[in-house]
Amino acid sequence: MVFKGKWFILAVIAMFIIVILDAGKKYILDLRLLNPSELIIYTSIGIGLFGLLHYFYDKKCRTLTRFNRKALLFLFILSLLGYIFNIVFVNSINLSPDVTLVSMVLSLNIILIYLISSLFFKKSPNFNPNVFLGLILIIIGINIISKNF
Amino acid sequence: MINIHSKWFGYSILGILFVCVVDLGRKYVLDKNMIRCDEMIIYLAMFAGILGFLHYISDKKCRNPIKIPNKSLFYVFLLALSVYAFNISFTRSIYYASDVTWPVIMISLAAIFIYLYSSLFFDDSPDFDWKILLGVCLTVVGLGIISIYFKD
Repeated sequence: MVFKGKWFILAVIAMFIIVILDAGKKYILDLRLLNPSELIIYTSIGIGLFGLLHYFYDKKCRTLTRFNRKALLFLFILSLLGYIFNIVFVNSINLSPDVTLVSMVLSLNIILIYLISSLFFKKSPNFNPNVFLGLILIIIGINIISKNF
Repeated sequence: MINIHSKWFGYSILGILFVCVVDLGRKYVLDKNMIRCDEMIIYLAMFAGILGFLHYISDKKCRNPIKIPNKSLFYVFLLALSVYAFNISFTRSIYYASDVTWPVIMISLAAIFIYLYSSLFFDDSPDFDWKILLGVCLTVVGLGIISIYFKD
């Protein structure tokens, strides 16, 4: 049974948080309280402030000068891509008739992530065709939804 | 049927690519022990804040926070708090999981709850449809198969 342990509990918590997040973003955009750019900008600045508070609170957190250049580069690229994702995602939920559709399309990333991690990541378990079949079934379920929408 | 020529669909497809790179990248950095889990959460958030600030300066149409109603600002505060809580849960989850795919599968289940919530409570969203819920539930069968056949 793969769905157990610390990671599972944390993933379930993250799942419920993302429900609030996605629905909240759509709510703000539907009511035109903010435009998509303002939503992206102010949530990012807010996240940055929370990060700063976390930095002061966490005594074990090293300063940036103590990281090697490779780690710094990865951090920068990841945050940049995360920011671009945020722009793309907020615009997508702003234009879509329902926020669910965007979440469903995005869930297709499972296939790519599984293929890459199982084939190229040394610490990840090897590729398993049965597991891949399970992933395909998930996608079929999502397609049924899209046809009936 | 989803209109694949619509703008939102194009943005979503683009989003898939970004989310793949970001999730795989996080797992790669954590697996290589380049950085601690909390350090990643902190610095990614701080960089996001800096990027947000740069975006604010470059976007001439973005209103000053003083001109935004308090209600909207409060919602933004709650959203930022939620994103941060999500980052903590998700980053730790991919750190503990043997494969980054498993936490991502769990997150994709959010679509079920988002559907229920938006169809029941949002005025602009289409009404609740049992067929759609059936399709959503079918994805859970896929999850069941994965949990049976997966060997760590």
